[in-house]
Amino acid sequence: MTTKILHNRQGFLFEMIRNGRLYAMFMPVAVYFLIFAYLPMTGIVVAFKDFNYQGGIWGSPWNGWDNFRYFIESGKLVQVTINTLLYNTLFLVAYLFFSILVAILISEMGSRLAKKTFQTMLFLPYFISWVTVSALVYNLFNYEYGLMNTLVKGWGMEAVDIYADPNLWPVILPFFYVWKWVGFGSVLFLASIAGQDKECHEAASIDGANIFYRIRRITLPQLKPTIIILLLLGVGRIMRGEFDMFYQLVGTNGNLIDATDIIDTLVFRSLVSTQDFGMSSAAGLYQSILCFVIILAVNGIVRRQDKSQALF
Amino acid sequence: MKKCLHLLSILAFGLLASTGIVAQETKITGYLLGSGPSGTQDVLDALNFKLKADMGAKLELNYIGWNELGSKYPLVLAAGEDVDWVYAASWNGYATQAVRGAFKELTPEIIQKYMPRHWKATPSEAWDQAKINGKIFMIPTSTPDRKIPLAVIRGDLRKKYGLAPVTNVAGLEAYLTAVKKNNPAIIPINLGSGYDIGQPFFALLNNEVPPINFVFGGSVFGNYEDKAHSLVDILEEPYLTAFKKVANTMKSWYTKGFINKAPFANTVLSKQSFAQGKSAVGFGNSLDIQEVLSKATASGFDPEIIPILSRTGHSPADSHVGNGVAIAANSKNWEKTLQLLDLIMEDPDYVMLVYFGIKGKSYDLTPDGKLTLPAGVTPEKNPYPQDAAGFWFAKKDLFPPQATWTSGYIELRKKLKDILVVNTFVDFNFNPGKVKNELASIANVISQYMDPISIGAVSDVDKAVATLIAKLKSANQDKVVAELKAQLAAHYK
Amino acid sequence: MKKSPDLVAINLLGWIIIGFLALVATAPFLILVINSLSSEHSIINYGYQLWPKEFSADAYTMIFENPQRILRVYGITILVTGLGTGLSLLLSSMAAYVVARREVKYRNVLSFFLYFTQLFNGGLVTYYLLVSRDLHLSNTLWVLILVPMFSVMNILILRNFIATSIPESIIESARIDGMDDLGIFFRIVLPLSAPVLASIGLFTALGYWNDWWTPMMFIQKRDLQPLQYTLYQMLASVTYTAQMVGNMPTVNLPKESLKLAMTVVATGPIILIYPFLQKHFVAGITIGSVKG
Repeated sequence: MTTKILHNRQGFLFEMIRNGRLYAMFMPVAVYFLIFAYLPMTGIVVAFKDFNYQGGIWGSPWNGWDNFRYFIESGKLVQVTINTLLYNTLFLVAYLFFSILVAILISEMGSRLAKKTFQTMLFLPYFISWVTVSALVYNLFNYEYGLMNTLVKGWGMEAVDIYADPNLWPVILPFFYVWKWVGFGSVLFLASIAGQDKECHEAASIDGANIFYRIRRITLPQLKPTIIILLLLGVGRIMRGEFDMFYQLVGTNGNLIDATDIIDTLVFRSLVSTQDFGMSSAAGLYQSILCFVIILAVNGIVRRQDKSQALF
Repeated sequence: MKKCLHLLSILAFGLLASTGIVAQETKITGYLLGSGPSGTQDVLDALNFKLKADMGAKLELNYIGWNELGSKYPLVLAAGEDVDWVYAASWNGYATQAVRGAFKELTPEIIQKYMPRHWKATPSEAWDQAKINGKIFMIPTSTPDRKIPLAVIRGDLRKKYGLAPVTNVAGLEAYLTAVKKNNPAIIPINLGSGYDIGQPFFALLNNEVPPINFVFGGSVFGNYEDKAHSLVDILEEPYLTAFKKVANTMKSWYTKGFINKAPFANTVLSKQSFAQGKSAVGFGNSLDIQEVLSKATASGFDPEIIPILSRTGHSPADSHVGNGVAIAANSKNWEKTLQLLDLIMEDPDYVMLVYFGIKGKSYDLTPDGKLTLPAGVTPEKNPYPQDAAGFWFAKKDLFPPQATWTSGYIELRKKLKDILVVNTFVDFNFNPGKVKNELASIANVISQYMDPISIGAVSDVDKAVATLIAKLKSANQDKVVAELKAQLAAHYK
Repeated sequence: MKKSPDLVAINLLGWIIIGFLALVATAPFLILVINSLSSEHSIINYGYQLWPKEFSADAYTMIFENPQRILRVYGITILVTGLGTGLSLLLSSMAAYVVARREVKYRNVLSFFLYFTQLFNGGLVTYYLLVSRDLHLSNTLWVLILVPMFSVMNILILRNFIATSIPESIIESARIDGMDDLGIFFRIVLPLSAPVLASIGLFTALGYWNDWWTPMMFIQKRDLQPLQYTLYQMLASVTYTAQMVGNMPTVNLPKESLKLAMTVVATGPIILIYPFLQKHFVAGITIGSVKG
């Protein structure tokens, strides 16, 4: 019997015996995710329950799709879904583009001191929380005494009220997103460039290829796996937003809501005084399912191009 | 060997003694809102010293931060462990949580038995207000806050421009115009996000409509002086015209630059910028304005108070359930917890300790019995400022008057008893369970379509109001109103 | 040595673009530092200034008024960050190594097992009840270490790096030399992954350092509160809840300058470690040196 399993080279047991050590090395992480991620995942049922304290998660009565109703009846579901999708796509593309640009430019810099200094500087925004950024932005841009408008008025021009113009925000928000995260993102690409084989570059250089040509033909293609993995990871979060950024920078500003409303801000506004677990779970589930569908599609496309690059 | 035994016996004795002490002191865990000021630990130590002597209990105090309220407050109750009592209030979803079974039911007998002082100090209507479907789940405060909403303006500027005293927010136009014209550096009204948003609008609207008070958050309010508990929809005639008139006034103020352009992104509240001289009008209530008044007086602004009242000259008194405590449904030591709360809520020594801290450290008394700061302690450095620690349910009648009260403020306090009237809806707790989806939609509509109208940031008032009405309709406000009426009818039958 | 024109060009481009971005990134922080030294009156009246009209160190004296407390807060944060980052990095890279190896048949299943948790979660209630009621982790140092411990993103980035930049041949030859999986991992994979380990280590450390969510949810004891939570409480008390504040007697709002000063205090130390890590992911490594 045992020999039969052992001889069956496709078998589960055979694999376990052959690579047992490797699987054992995976165990700590596996156990962690089982406990801290899969176990609580059963709580998805809360989205379909009328939660009460005595019944808890399992004992509370079911209420079908009732928790989703506010979401659908708000009449804004389509709009916020599209907004979320567009903003996050914009963020992801801008983030990747600037991270790569910064990483390549820094890695080509001659001076080590400059490399270090610039990188540290680019990292600073990561530490400023959105609440503080919001106060900063308000102080820079507000109509009455903002630094920018003081200057603009000084030049004899009309002051700008950015908080009244919905068209500006699709630019302002990605700007701050990149501002906050580019230091973070470029680190990965720097590491990836550092891991690249230098010989290729040298050979090409001797052949007379200039640096721009080498970046296009050697550096960038080698960054492709990193780009794809970041893309896939980003797509997996595409329906969740930087809630804090939207909430703090924009505020609940009626004039900007149509242009800046994402799923998370809609849910926050609707539930701010409700304290209802079921309703917030329902929104979370909606986001999860959309993310799931989108990632399956994107991963499928990647898989067709290059199987080894796909996430799963 | 003998020595060894001796040592052992000492050890054993020590162990016994320590477990004995643990057994004697019952640990009671409570939750308050906000975050304790820096001196909290010292006060808690002093409190526990007293508690140990008086009833053999030890209080462990935890805080639920302001913006964790929506998530952590229900979570702590859902976990139900390590919690004996928790701050509760009508504005913090008391009814919702009680209906879901978060709190232990209390009866008058239980209260009489374990909280004799509090039972004596609390009028019977307080317990009626705390009733949800006929059952009590909260210990309401014996002394509700006595406060009214108000605006403050700068008396020095008003006099400088030769304007008559202002008694109503509607009479501010001349003052705002003069300030705007003569002081380019001052923003007449610098509203912050949150609290400030609806303040000027409703202050103006109050002059036009019956005395209204918030019922559920949409456009329908309760007439708080009407014994018949009638409802007022401010978006229906005869009030719609008034609503539009006020909206137009706000729009003109906004366009003239009397109000800052982007209150929604401004984190500095109007009263803070007023205190620092950045703006000329501040909004607040008669309790939280004290600090602003003394600061403004010190800066020579000569602050003048404009009470915000309904057209009858009244303001609804806070209910007893505006501040209170609930016992967690699974509390094991609820008897001791009630006894402890009886001390904290009613005993003069305990009340002074939890509310004002340690005498000589965070407060002192003047020879004539007024409350003041100890020598060398400034308001900023006070380790335990009043109100900050969150024991808002303590008996406020025990508080001494304060040395920093300005004459205008003392005058206002005297007037309060004529201004405050009983809110006829005070014992009614709306149970939102059946219409929670509709309420969520309405909350959403109000912030998107009502708030811009209320600060005047709309280009066409008629159109904006029409949109608001249509959106409230599609958010099914009618259904909520029907449910509200049904619950009212059932409650006041 | 004279540089060729294309190298001069890219360096020039680098200085211009990176210089501009660095300026945009640094200016707000500088404004923050400068204004944390400003008086409250000056901030509210004139807004944030490039040079304060009224200097005042009040905010800092307030923060350091109780040095024991602030030291304790720092201590907790450093302990959690150090311990957590070490553990997380070791176990994450181990797992990443496993899913990167071609001969592991179920590696895609395992990757999906990890990735799936990114997409679906059971919501706050279940998680809270699990951690506080079932695992009894509330008010322990462990909760601060465990909750933010693993990021699927980091593990998958590590996997990607190991799979693409460590040549299969090196692992094969080590195996022929008789090294077992654990040995290969410690003696070959880890040293060769230095750049990515440094960057992931940085991310993890930053994650721990900036984590305010875990203490907000699970820590009530004051002496276990880390730095960011203290900052968070201060910043947050103003905004989210302002809607309810109307009901309160008074809520003492923290001063604007104090919020800025606290941000500076909470950021300073972690910025200092950056240059030390940085050399690993900029300098790179040569594969030959490890092989020999």
